[in-house]
Amino acid sequence: MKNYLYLFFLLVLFSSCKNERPEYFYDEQLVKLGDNPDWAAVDFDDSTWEENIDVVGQGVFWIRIKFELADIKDIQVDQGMMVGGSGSYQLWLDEKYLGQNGELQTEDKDEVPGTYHAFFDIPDSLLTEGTHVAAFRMTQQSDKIGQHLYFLIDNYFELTRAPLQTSKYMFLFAGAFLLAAVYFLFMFFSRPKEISPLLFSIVCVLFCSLLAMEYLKFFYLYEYPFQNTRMEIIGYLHISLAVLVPLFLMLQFSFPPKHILILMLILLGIIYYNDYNCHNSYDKVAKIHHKTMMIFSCLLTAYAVYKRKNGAKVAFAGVLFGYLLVHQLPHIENLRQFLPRFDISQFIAFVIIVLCMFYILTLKIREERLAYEASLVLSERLKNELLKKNIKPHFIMNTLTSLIDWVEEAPKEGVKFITALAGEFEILNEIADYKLVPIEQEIKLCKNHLKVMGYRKEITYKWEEWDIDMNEIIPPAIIHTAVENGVTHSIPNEEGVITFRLSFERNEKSKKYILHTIAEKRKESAIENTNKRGGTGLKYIRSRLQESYPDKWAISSQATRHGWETVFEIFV
Amino acid sequence: MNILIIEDEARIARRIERMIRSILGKEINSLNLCDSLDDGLKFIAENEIDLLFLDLNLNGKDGFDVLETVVSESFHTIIVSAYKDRAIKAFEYGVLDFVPKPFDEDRLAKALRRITSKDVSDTAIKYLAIKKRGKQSLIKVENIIYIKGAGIYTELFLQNGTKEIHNKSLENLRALLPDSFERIHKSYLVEMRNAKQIIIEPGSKYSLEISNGEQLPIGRTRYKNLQEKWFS
Repeated sequence: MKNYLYLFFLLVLFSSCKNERPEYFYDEQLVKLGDNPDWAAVDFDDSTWEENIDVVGQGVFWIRIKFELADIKDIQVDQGMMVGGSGSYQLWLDEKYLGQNGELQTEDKDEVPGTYHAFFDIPDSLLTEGTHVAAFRMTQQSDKIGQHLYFLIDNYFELTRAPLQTSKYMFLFAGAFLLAAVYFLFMFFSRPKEISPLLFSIVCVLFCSLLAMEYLKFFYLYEYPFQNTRMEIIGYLHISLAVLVPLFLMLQFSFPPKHILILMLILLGIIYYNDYNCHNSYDKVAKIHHKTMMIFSCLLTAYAVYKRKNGAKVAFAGVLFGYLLVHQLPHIENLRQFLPRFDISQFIAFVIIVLCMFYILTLKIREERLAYEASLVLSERLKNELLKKNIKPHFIMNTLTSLIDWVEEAPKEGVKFITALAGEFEILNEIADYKLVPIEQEIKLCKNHLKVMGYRKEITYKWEEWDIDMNEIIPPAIIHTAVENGVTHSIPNEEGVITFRLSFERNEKSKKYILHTIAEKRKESAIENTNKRGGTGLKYIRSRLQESYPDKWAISSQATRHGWETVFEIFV
Repeated sequence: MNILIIEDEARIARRIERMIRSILGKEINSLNLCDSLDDGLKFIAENEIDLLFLDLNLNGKDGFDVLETVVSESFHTIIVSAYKDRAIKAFEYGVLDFVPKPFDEDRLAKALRRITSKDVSDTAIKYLAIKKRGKQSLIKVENIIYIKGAGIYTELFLQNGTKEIHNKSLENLRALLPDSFERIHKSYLVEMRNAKQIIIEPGSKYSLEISNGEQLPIGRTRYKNLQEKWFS
């Protein structure tokens, strides 16, 4: 019978909110179908009545419960009775009519369902030491819920107030998590690509809902069929949390998507198995879902600790503590009395988990912010590097020396040289602020650079373009850097010419820029080259590509029959 | 004079060449250009030169790597470079001059004048690079007591009692070393902080006693100047 479970459920709750346990009665509920006003009598012989019979939807039936009040000292004035049960009923205590909950079903009228919990005043004169009889005249038309009944006797004021005392803390929690949920939902809206804040927000909402559903019963007197709906909702909330919390942990600790998929399937399998096995017991199933979630989270965070993930240690410690508190420590006989019961401890564990998640998420957000700041710094550094290209002493001083010479020796050519130099500066200045620039501008920059170098080195540099799509964009000065390297490391052919040929290829997977340097390559010096300037150039190109196409690029360069080839590949 | 210019910028190399020709005129025996370090070093190995003009950044390679090699040779080295900030280091290694780019003919003429008349103001040399069994090593100038000319090369006598051979002539070293090095004889250059006293021997023979007790001959024509400058 389900009623034992419900009874235990409430017993646990009440026991945790109040040191002094209120009087509580459920045993020897004797049931009989039919209707007779005499059945309320204290000395009525109910020996032929049975404990377990199906009464749902079968019209009026009676339940009689005999109970002893032994220690009358504790029983004071202003006593009340809280009844929890499935059905509409009228209640007598020791033949004294206490009241009615709902309206009973009659032949021509449907039942008006009573509330699941109902409170009754007990006249002071009734509570004396000895045996008492509570008699319920009931109908239960709804079959959504198994027939059950229990009641507590305590100070009327305490009966209503004590549960609210516990609830207030729980609703404080619920409110905090609701706020967190809203905050992270907004965060998600501001950056919809990040799934973690959304997940965290959902977990917070679920947790808030779970608290609300659990403690709803203390301030909202709902009709008894809803009790079942409520328990179902709680069940689904438990399942959702058992799925989402491990999923969140896996995402936060950057598990590979394949592992996440496999682990989630395993988890769902376990949850389904547990749910199927314990479907008849709300309490057991909640506990086992909770346990599954905790064990899974423990294993995941332990693995994250092993992998030295940021924040993993704190998360593992928190989750492990939660697991031990709820599922292991209560098995130790001497400890049990000091520990909160499942209803409280499960929420403590949840709070710890959510706080751990909060912590991890905060760390992650901080990491992201640092990474973002680093990327800003990098962008700024690359911009500097780009601008510095043409004021490095090697470039500027050699250029100026050549320039002076041209002006002194051939002023007209000198003027052209100055124009070309001005052109290069102008373009560099134009593109410095952008992460991507039109290819047309990049080509213009290369051409201008070759003009300048032509005057300096007195080598004829030719520029050729094949199949360039002028609508394309590219990080600034990367081809320019490759051209610089080509100028530095190449020897012209017999006619004193070095040709640069830029071609463009596009296929489904990638876009490719190929820079051919058609020239002889200078022999590598026998002298150790400690200052790898070519190296810094390549570093600039790599940083620029990574900045604009994270991990979706490749650069290669190799000797060809006619010279040198540098390939920039950008994957789609 | 045999001159080599190692410079990878054609226009600048020709500018240096033109100016040297204008300054030195008929003093030039040969003047050659190389546009890479490798070619330049090959040329040095195969030809006798008196003066080298060297750019410190050639085709992306650092000329500093060869500086130690070239300063240990007999000829003078003049650096022509855009990297002004490296001048001090170059002087420490014993280059004759450091001509920053861009330059004009006057600046180049000044550098060339150093070969004959020493410009006292900036002798920052700290090391003498020597070639020992084919390898370069650096000797601290402060460790040298005196230098003895031995034909086309010189012998360096050091504080620790050892002797090293340098490929530069006494004349060329004189141009590089600070003023505390005094020519006391056509074959001797002494670091005067090590000088103790002048000993006059019968027959107008003069010698200089130095810190390690050795006595080095003083040239007859140099005695008066030496006495006035250092012992009066």
